[in-house]
Amino acid sequence: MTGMVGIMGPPQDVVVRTEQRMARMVGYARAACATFVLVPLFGWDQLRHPWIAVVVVVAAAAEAGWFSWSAWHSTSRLADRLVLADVAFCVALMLVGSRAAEPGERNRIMTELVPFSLVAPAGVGFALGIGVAGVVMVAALMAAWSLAVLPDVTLKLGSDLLGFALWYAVALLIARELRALSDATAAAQEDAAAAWRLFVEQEREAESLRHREITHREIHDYLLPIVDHVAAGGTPSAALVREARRGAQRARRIIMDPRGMDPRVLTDDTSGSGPGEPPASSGSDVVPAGADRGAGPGESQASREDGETGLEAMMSAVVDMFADEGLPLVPFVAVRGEPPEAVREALVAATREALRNVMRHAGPVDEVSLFVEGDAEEVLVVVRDRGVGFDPATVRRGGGLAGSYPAISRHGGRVEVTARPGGGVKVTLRWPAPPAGVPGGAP
Amino acid sequence: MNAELPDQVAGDRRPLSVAIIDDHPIATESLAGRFAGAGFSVLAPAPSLEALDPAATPDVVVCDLHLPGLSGAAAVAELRGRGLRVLATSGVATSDEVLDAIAAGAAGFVDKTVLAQQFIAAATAVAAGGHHVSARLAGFLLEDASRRRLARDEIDDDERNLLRGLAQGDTLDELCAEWGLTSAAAHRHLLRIFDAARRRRRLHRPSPREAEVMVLVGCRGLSHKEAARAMNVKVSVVADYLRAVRVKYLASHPDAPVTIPPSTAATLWARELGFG
Repeated sequence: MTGMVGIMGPPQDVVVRTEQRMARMVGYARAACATFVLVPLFGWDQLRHPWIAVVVVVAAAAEAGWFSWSAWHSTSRLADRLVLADVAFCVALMLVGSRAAEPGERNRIMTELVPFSLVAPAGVGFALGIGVAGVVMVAALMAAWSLAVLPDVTLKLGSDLLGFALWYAVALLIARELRALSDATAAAQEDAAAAWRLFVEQEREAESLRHREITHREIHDYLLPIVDHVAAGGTPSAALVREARRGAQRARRIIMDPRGMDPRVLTDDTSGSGPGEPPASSGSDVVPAGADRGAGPGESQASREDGETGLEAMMSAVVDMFADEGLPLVPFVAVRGEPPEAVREALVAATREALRNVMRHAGPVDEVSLFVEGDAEEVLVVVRDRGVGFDPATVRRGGGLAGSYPAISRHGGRVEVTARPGGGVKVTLRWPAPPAGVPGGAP
Repeated sequence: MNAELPDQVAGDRRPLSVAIIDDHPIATESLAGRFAGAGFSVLAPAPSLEALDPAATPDVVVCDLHLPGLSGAAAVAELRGRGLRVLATSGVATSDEVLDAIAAGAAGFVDKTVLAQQFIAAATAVAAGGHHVSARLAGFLLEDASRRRLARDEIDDDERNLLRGLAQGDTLDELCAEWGLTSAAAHRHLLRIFDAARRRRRLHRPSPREAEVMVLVGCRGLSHKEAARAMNVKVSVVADYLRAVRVKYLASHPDAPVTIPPSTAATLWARELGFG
């Protein structure tokens, strides 16, 4: 009966805790009913042995204190020996305590011993349950009170004895209800835990299956042809290097974040097998990247507004697309609010154009950073490479880069392009345009 | 202290020594060649931490985060334990892996794919007792700082702007020149940034004991009692660890349902972190 905690899993916790609480309930009753024995002291003059009444008060207070303390600190079900000791004490208390009054007066002045002792059969009901031992204990209590009042047998004795029997019976019923409740709770908790385990297991399986499919496809489509080519002694060419870069980027993405790899249909012509030219079309009229995810043109679908056409999602799609093409992007995208839709689209189109320019003009670069930060009020986008750059003195800034940059200005933003020959290019998109006089290459 | 010293004819400046720990010979060879070309003395390449001579005292160790044997943050911690300065590198490490390496004491991180030039600048800075923050690391640090704010000694606006500049692809020298910052001041800022990153990790990542419980209960499916016996603690302590794991998991996974049981949180997080 003791030591149940050790073998219990977490759902069984509730069963043990319920037993603890039931033990405490008996403890409360024991402590509360101890006050009854004070009452005979008020009939001091009518007592035959007042000192016995004093002993009763002291002993009952001590016993009730000890019992309540033990019940409060019970780690599980109310202990058998505690209840047994309580019954024995009550038997003794009734037999001895009743002697404080004259024989004919016991049933009157010392009747307060009964409410004190009635708690004992409740403890028996909670601790021992239904059974011979419990019935014997209750019978002992009844017999003790019958003997205590012996010459003075009245109808009241009947109601006292019924009291002992009923407290036992009612405690049995309450204990059964509470235990049924705690068992049902434990079972529900166990079911919920099992459902979670199943869910986690299924998720894991589905994910590992998806991961395997993606890995298989990526290796087959993007890595194996290159490795085969090299293994067969194929000559390195610019196209091969380009394909190898792309394969490396895609492989890296699988390793770092397989969950981020959605099976996607690329609209660009590079998804073919041949190591062809990187898409040379101007970025201005390309379908918005967000559309690649199958959401459709999207602006009418209000419910998808944030998920599919939010700036962060759109920029992430741009990142994915260029990474798939082999651009060694180091992205940082942190968007906390949504600027107006037209601004979002202009920014994303300009970002695509800047990245497209890096692919076309920067030469071999080992790192291109894309920094996107903003909220509903302002957005900053920086595209920075360390490629060949160009000489601002000979190339008209922004001129050759026609297309989507002017749209930024139309929406109240500003584009800055700073470049040095050999020092790479930095494209800064700000929305809204900063006030005049802010440092940084003014257009 | 350095055996290669007499070979160096270029006056009194001792060449910096570097050890490279990486299990890919292709990567090691080309990197070692470039370090040698830049005037470093390069120790024999080690394919694993165990293969590195324990008595070696290079000025900087370039350590890949995915190694056979002791790997990742544990490898960095081991090297730091030997009093070595560590520059972490990887081509595939996730944000968590990189930040764990920083928390374990790495003084910088560079992508494995970058040109030798950045590698050499980074290793030089780390060897001199400084830090190196690549654009990628700056992005990771910024994101970590905005997702998991510290209650005290959080990085200030200057430091945040420094990270923003680095994440935009500028180098530390360029930023110092642009803002009129001395390199000593920049160094102090980086020290504070790294310190904050370490404290952030300690607060929001499972402690070693919590990680142990996550592996036992979350990955191996042990009951509380079995886990308690394996760890030689009380059952209630295991439950406490799991509750702490759940709190940390919810803090870093705002989308997770708040009703998630502790053992499920442990399972999901352990899988996400690649435990077990």
